[in-house]
Amino acid sequence: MGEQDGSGDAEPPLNEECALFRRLLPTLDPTMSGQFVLVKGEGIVGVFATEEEAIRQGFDRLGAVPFLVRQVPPGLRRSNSPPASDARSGPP
Amino acid sequence: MISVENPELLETGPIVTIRVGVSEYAESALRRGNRAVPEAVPARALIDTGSGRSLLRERLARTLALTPVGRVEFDTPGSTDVPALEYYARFWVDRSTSFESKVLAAPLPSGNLEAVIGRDILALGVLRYDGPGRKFSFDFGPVAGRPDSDLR
Repeated sequence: MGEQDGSGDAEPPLNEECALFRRLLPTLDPTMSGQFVLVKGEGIVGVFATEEEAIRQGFDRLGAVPFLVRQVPPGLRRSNSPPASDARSGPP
Repeated sequence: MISVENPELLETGPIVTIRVGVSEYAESALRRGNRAVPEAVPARALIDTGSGRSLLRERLARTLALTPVGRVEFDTPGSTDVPALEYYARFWVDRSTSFESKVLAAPLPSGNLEAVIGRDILALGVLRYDGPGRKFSFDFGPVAGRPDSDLR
């Protein structure tokens, strides 16, 4: 989604962070279920109890640069198979 | 509290003019980096109980230089894995009242709408829609324990 108003064909922001989250999701400790992961570049910056805290820490630690905050799905169980897809949202 | 009387409420729906700006967290980060803090800008927002997420026109997010804090992908009837950025923005109801919430950037169908206030923000208060009276109001009231939204 996004309006064609000058963005050209630039790669969407947070590609790297989304890919990392997808890759790491099957390996995350199930105790992290429901928590919020702060990702920047190729690393996890931290794991937080609330989304707002993760966002606050993102701005505090990284500054006003794009970063990814994503919730570890509640009920996560460790699996050897890769996730079927990235976290998704239905059409608003 | 938002309170609007509109003789054309039936035709237009509950639209309110608010102001949208960077969040306090982003503002602090910008100041630390000696960067300019964009002024909040007026925006026409539709209150939509049919939308689970609040939306912001992507162009407005760029105008305000909002910082992406998330991204989701979803499928539409014509496309799959369509990416949409999420921003954490501040919404000013009046000069002294604002709240902050994560919003999803989206193309909006009506050219004069800049935002949609969905159920994630409506969860913060009480919406009253008076059809015969052609008016509506949204009272934030006490805000309790919502992690990603904050009345200030």
